[in-house]
Formats: sequence, C-alpha cells, structure tokens
Amino acid sequence: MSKTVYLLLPAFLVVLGVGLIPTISLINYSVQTPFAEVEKFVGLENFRKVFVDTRVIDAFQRNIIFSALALAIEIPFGIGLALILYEKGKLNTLISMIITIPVLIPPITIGLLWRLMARENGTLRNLMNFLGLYYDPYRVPEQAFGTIVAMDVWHWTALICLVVSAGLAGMDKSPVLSAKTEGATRWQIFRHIELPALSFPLVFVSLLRLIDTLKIYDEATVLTMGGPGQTTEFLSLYVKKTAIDQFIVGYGAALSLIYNLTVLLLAWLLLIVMTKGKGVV
Amino acid sequence: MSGESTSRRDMLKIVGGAAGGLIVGGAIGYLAKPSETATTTVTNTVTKTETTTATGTTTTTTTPTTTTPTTTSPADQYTLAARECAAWVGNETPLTQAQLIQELEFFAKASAPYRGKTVLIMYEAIPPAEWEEKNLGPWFEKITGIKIKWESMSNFETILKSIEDQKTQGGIFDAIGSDQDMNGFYTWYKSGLDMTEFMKAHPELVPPYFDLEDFYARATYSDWRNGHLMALLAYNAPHGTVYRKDWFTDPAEKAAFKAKYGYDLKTPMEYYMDAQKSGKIDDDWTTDKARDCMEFFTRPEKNMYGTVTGLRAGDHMGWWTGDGFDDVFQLASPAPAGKDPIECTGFEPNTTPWGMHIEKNVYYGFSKANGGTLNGDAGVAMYDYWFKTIPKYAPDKVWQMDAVEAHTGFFTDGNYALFFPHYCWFTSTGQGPDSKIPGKFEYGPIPVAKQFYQKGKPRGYIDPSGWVISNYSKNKEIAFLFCTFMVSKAFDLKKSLANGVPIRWSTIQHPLFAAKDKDLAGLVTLMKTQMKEQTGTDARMVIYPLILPIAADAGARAAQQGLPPKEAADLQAGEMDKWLVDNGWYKKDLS
Repeated sequence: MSKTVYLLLPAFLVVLGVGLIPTISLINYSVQTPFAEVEKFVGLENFRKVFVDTRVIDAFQRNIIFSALALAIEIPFGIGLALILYEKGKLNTLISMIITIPVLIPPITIGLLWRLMARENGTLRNLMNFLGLYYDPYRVPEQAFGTIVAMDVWHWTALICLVVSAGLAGMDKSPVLSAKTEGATRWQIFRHIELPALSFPLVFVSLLRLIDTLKIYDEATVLTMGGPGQTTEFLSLYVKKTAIDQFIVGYGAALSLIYNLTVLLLAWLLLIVMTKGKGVV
Repeated sequence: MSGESTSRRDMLKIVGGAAGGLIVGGAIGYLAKPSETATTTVTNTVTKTETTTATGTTTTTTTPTTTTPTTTSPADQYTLAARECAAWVGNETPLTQAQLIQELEFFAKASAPYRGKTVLIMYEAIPPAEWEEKNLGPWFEKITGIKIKWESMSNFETILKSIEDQKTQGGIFDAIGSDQDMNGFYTWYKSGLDMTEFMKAHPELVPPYFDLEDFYARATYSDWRNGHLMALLAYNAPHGTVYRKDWFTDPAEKAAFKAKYGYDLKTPMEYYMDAQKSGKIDDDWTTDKARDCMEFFTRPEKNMYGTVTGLRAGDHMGWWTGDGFDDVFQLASPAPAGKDPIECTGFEPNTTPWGMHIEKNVYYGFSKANGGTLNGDAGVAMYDYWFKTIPKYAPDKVWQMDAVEAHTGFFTDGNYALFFPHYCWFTSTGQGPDSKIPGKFEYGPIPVAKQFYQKGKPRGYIDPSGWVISNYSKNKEIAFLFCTFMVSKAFDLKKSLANGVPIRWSTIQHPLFAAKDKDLAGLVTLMKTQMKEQTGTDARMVIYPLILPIAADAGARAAQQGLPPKEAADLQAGEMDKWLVDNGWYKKDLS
C-alpha cells in the first residue's frame, strides 16, 4: 500500500464519522417506522408519502420562491455596494465596517431582533404606520413572507459585498486603466472586465447563499413560527415538526433525505448554469 | 564522639518537632471541634423566618425555639442541617416542631448510602419550580449530601424530553417536573416510575409524614387501571378567570353597566356564588356575561381592552382547546353521580381534552362522526368565541402573542378587564414589581356556556404538576428522595405562601394560608369553593404529547387563515382523527 493511502486515511475516517455514518443511519430510519407503536420495515413507503404530502409541496415551493427572491436581490445589491465601496475613502471604510455587522450576528438573534421590530410598537411597525401603510406580518401572509425576505437581505447582503470586494481587491488593475484610457464607460468596464474577473467569487458566494436560503430555519421560525397559518412554513420547519415535535422519525428521515438531495441538486444546477455547463470555474 | 553528639542533636530535633507538631495540631483540632454548644447555638439563633409573599411584602414569623441538647459528632452534619432547615421553616408548616424535625432528619438518615452522588433534574421553568430550586434545592443538598443538577426549560421541552426518554429508554433525566397532561403517556409506555409499587418495595425511603391522602387531585396523576400514583404532585394552579377587581367594583362602572345591559355588574366570583345559592345557571358567570363585560370595558381610546389572548402559532394553539376553552364550552361528559370531577381519572363517553370519545377504554376520535364533541355544536361555539368574539375586545397584538405572553401581559400591560381561561401560576408576577396592577386583580372561576352547561361536567383544568421519575433512571432511589423532599408536608405551606400553589389539603386548610387569600388575589377562596369541579387530562390520553402538535398546528392554521368556526372545528377534529387512524390508534383498546 502506498504512502498516499496512509496519508488519506485520517481524512477518510473523519468523513466517515461526520458524514457517512449519520447518512447511513438516516437511510436506515427512512425505510422503517422506528420508535412507532409498531416498528416495521416499510420499504419506500415513507418516500411515497413525501411526494404526495401537500404540505411538503407547498413548503418546497415556498423555499424556491424565497431563495430566488433573496438571491435576486442580494447578489446585485451586494455587487453594487462592493463597487461603490471599492473606491478609496475614509467614509467608505466606515460604511464597510457598519454593513458587516449583521453578518456577524447569529441567525437566531436576527430573528428575535426582527420579531421585536415587527411587533406592535416595534420600529418597523411604527415606521410603516408613519408612512401610512398597514403592516401586520402576524395577520397578512404576504407581509410575513416579505419580512422574511427583507430580513435575509439585511442579514446577508454584506457577505456578498465582502466576497466581491475581496475579488475586486485581488484583480489586476491594468485592464481597467487601459479601458479607461480608451474611453470605455463605467458599465462597459464592469461588464467586460470586472464581472468576468469576479466569476469565481460570485459563483462561490451564490452557491453559498443558495444553500443557506434553502436551509432557512432560525430566523423564520423565531419571526413567524411558520405563520400566519402555514404561509411561511419552510421545509426545514416542517421536518422539525414531523421528526421532533411529532416524533414520526421514519417519515422525518425520508423527508430529510429528499430535502438534502434537493439542496444538492439545486446547488449543482446553479453551478452548471453559472459556469455555462462546465461545472467548474 | 562527634557522631554521637550529632545523633543526640538529631534526636532532640525529632522529639522537639513532634512535640511542637502535637501542640499545634491539638490546638487546631480543639478549635475546629464542633461542640454541643455549637449545636444549641444553631437551633436557638435561627428563630425568625422571613417570607417574601406574593405581594412582594416581607413578613417576619417568630418560630418556636427548638433546643435539643444532644451530643453530636462531626458525622452528624446532615442532622444538624436538618435542624437548621427546621428552624428556617419555622411555623409555616402544618407539622409540629417535633414532627418537622423528625421528617427532615429522616432525609439525613435515608440518604446516607447515596451521599456524594448527583441527581439530574429537569423542570418547566414556572415560578414555584424556580422557588424550589432556589430555596429547597440547597437544603436538600445540605441535608442529604446529594448534589442536584438542575435544567429548566419550557413546558413543550419537558414534553420532548419525556418522549426522547421513552423512545430511547436512555434515562436522560432522573426526575422531571412535568404537567399532568403527560400522565397517560408515562403510564402507558411505562416510562414513568410507578410510585405506588416503588413505595411498596422501598418503605425505608418513604418519609414519616408523606401522608398520601393529604395530596388532592392525585387521581388525575395516576394509572386509570389500578389507581397507582405516577407522580409526586408538587404544585397546582387552578383554572379560572382573572379580572380587574377595581374596575368590576367601581360604583360608576357598575351604574353605567346596569344602564347599558340591564343587569348588575358583579365580579365573576360573585356571579358564581349567586348561582351556587340559587342553583340557576342564569345567575352564574357565563360566556354571555363575559362577552358583555369584555365589550363594556373595551375603550381603545383610553387604552382599555376587554380581554387578552394568544393567537400566534405555538403549542398553546393545541392545549388551549384541550385544557381550557373545552371546559368553558363543556365538551366533556359529566362525572358519575356522587363524584366530583376532581376525583375522576376520565369521563365517558366524552372526555378531556378536546371532547374525545373514549368508551370502555377504546379510542374512537374527536370529531362528531366518531362520537367526539370537538366539531359538534359546543366545539363550533368554542371556536366562534375564541377566534371571533374575543379578538373583538382585545388589542391587535394578540395575533403576535402566545398563551404565556398573554398570561403575563395581563399583569404587565395592566389594561385588560378580564382574561380566561387563565392558569393561576402567575400570582407572584401579578403582585410583583413588574406588574402594573398589584393588589387590583382577583381570581374567579372560568365562565361556562349556559347552552351546554350540565352540572357535574368538568369546569376548568386543574393543572397539578408533579415530579415524575424516569423508569430508565439508574438513580431511582435518589430521585425518589429528591421528589419526596420537594413535596414534603414540611414545605408545602411555606412554598404556597410564596407562590400560592398548594398541593395538600393540610395547606389549603391551614390558617396561615387562609390569611393570605387577599395577597393571593382570592386564590384560596377559588380553591375552597370551585376547585372540586375542575379536573385533569384523562389518564387514558396516552397519546397526549404526540397528538398535541397536530392539534396545535391545525388550531394555528385555522385561526390565522381566518376560517369560519365550523371549518376551524372540522379542520382540527379531522386532522386529529386522521392521525389516530394513520398511527393505529383508532378503536385501540387500552384496557
């Protein structure tokens, strides 16, 4: 056996411990009814139930819409901010520091913060009232959903900005200077020089954010607990309700596996689209 | 010579060192020795007990001096601690001083084989349990030498922990402070220790003044098949209406009310007492009168509201229709003739919670189609009242509140006329520094819907929490000592004077407790007059923690989607029945 195998062994053992064994356990649970009144092997029955469960379908659609909206706002906004802040200046440094703060706050705290702001006499509610708008995310589903999107944008746009800024900082400046000398517009410089140069960080941060938004749990749960009704119930919350609250472990395991594979699949699709079919940057 | 001389010098050093060591050691030993005088000093000096009552005031009680001039040794530190604790309790116990000392010294002796061990305790973070942790916990450790590891959590987390313990059989806690709703679960799955059997097997661990008969409502926390006790009851909060006594008794308000509604404005307790005298439901505190009162006191321009509730998604959206409004709308069947609801473990054919149809221990369901009452006329009226009537007289923020926030909000907002179904756990909050209405509120019974009223039906959920020992615990003996200590007759009165949650008849009937009625906002009167009509969750509700999330989920959806009452009732009953069928409980025989 070559030395390479021995060198890879620790990594293999770590992966086995943290990834493979839990996944195998999950697969094992998903084809049974563990901890139920009657524990039995049910084959793919739990998976069949997942595909006909209307709450799963609704939650999945919600997840997709949420991810699409969040990314559609956060990515352009993050790039724009990075381009503005790229210009040297004391004020820009200060702004960069301030906008980074939300990234450092744990999601559970963000949820609580927004819950307090959205409540009666909360900052957000008062602001909306001041503008003459009726705002009650605990009664109006669209407002609840919109508030969660806004919360995510507020929380994570700075991350995109930071990653893009790092890309800009590491970029070779000479093509930009040449383009400016040739009289290129700001848009032309961005479109043909900066954006291609930023492709790697952009793909990386987009994938990261897609995976994060598909997994959304803490903020939304603290803010709305899936309500009003089930209008902000995402897949993660439904998995939690099923597997933990109701202790239907077999079905919960099947749902978790499908959820996991869906996130992987969507992330892979995004990668393919963003890299124009190459799959690598 | 020189060698001999050195040897002698060395010898002198050794002898001198030894003598010096003996003198110093003896002096230290003498000073450190616990003397008989020290014992007497302890028991004589702690003669005053300060008790912080629910009103936040502090009373000083002079206790009878107990001098027991016995010879003690350092090994008796646990006995000394027991006597010190007896002095701390003072006369706030129905036991005589001799009995009190006997009871506490029992723990010092019985714990001898377990000293140095640790007991893992989980509990719902409610004021009386926190009081136990702060006050009784240190005494337990001092008297027994057993360490306590406390973990406090929400009610729902205690449920999840209990399920986890049962499913994994892991003994993840030694004892858990758990709601009575969970009784059936612990019983059916045998995940809770059968206390009756345990006491038979370990009579040496049963304290001398345990007095099982002294616990009331113990039927509600027992096995329906044999009456065996499944928990040691720790505290109880009756169910009721909390209201602003100052508003209800204001002469100007009374006159205005009479002019508007044509009958006298009285407090809920006064209405109830009137009905007790006349025997007429029309005189009672009914949902119609409650609606009139809520409407009358709703004056948003003055920031006054008729009531408050919680309509945010959460587990309360399930249990409030199972342990609350269902009793207001009388979804259950009456107790058998000659019995009060408090003595029953369940009702047939419809029981609590959710008006489920259980007949001869066979599960049928919640919906009308399966013989249940959840979506029958009473059930529909219940949803109509909760989702449509109550929000009319409450601020909009009830949609963002849960039940616990509504309970504390009644006191901390201070602008609501009344609130039901109210669990009287929060007296100390109401009388405490954060309350805007200390001394201005009072408790009465829950109202009843007169169209569904029948004498003998449960009227209120008596909420006796108790200490349950995990059947999978490896420290059952220690856990049992812990639980019996917490519920000892030595402490129940003292605990109740601070928190108003007695679990023993001897406390309820004690003059010191009766004298606290005003401080406890009429809780003693409520207990003495109406509590016998209240009951717990049916012992046969073994699926309680599993069906609760289904009920809560459907309840939240129904409320927040603004479904009409009939559809809301159909949704909740239908979802719960479906769960019964899907999980093999439909027509299951629990005999």
